[in-house]
Amino acid sequence: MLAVEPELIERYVRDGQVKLVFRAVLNHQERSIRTSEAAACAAEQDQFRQMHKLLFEELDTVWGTSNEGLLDLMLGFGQRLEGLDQEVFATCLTNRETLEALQASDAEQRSRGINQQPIFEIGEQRLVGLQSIETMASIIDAQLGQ
Amino acid sequence: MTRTFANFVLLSLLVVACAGPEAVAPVAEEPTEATALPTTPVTTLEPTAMPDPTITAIDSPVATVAPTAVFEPTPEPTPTEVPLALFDGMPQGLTDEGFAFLGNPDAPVIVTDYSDFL
Repeated sequence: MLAVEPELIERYVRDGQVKLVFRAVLNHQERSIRTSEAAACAAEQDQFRQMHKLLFEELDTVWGTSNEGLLDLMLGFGQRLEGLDQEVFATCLTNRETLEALQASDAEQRSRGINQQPIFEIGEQRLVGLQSIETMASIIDAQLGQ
Repeated sequence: MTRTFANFVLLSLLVVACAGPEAVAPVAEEPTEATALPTTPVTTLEPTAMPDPTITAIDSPVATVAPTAVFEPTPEPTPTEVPLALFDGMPQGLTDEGFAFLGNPDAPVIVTDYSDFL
């Protein structure tokens, strides 16, 4: 998604034609879970996109960190987000307040055949795997009636 | 014949004698002072001046009552719309289901990205 996301945003999201919704797929055990928790806890303070951006920027660091070190790594990422209430964020992460919802969502998605990533749904149309911006644009344009 | 006539006369006298005072023709009585009907005195009332409805001033002291508190009905709280946070100039927030979104909440097309951060 990251490859086409910037153009998708500039062409369709910025002018209000598309709402982009993110749903986590937990396919990489603890790394998926810890990063998704960090994003969900940041989202509760309206900073999902900031954490999303940081997580992709620090992708190598995430892969280079042991499972035991992921919590501290995520807490450190939180400290880099301006305006994030650190105490609330730390409590959210440490108490794993979003874990149950993330796992429930993942289970529901798997029941609908969403067991790999990335998968896109544009309206009712599902696209599996990486997509070109042209493919996505043709479907979006059709749904917009353009 | 003579005897019949005599019986008629006797009978007539008897009837008159038994008739009582009611049967007697009323005698017109002269009104006397004692029996004259009292005349009802007629009093002519001067019309009472009606109060001018436009005049409300009260000259006489009136006991004042401490004003009671008037409670205004509490207005219904107006739901305040919380402005969405912005990311790079675009709104971001959570859907009703709790998933993070970016862009116009009422956009005609929704693109859902099922992914992770790895």
